Amino acid sequence: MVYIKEWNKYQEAVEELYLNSPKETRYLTSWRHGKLVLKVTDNFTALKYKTDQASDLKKFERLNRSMMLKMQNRKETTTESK
Amino acid sequence: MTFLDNDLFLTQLVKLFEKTKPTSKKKVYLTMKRYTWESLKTKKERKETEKSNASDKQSVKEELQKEVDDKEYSCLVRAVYGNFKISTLVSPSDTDKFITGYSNILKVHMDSMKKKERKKEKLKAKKIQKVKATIA
Repeated sequence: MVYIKEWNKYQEAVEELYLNSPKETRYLTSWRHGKLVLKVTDNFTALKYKTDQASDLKKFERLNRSMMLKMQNRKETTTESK
Repeated sequence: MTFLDNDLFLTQLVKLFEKTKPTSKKKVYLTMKRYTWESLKTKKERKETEKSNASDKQSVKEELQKEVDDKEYSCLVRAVYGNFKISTLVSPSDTDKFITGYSNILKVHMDSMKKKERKKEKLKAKKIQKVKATIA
């Protein structure tokens, strides 16, 4: 279990992990008043990101969207066109 | 656990967030995963067709690979706060609508995060200027 501090690295790692095992990987969010923790795991590796900055919310939204599209196996281009 | 439809899930999600209190130690958990569940019957059928085609393994593998590449799945979304649990399935066609609503709810209810320091400083500077202006 590792916390990754930089968002860009986190997003890259998460996307790679997901593409490697789309069937197993799940994406969890826990929130407790002002503290947001993201976790993506495939039962072997767990990637976590912790934040209390409001500026991370937008990135979080974007990640939600891209993860959902990945889970539905849709092409990435649909996200970029929007 | 039954699945709610997307709109109902979102309204319930709002209720869930309204239950949260800043002082409470309980957390809100949100989960997203690919929905790959199949009934026992279809599972059996799938395995049997796989078996019957086993003589031609290579082509079966290729077909399976293709299926994995092309198939679109529903996405399972689950939200938990204490005993309050809700879940929904988002089909590919509903995604955009759902995710916009979902993002908006999160944005509204996750507003207790820290704003950037810089803005605070700017505000302070403005206030000081105002005070100075009124004095002058």
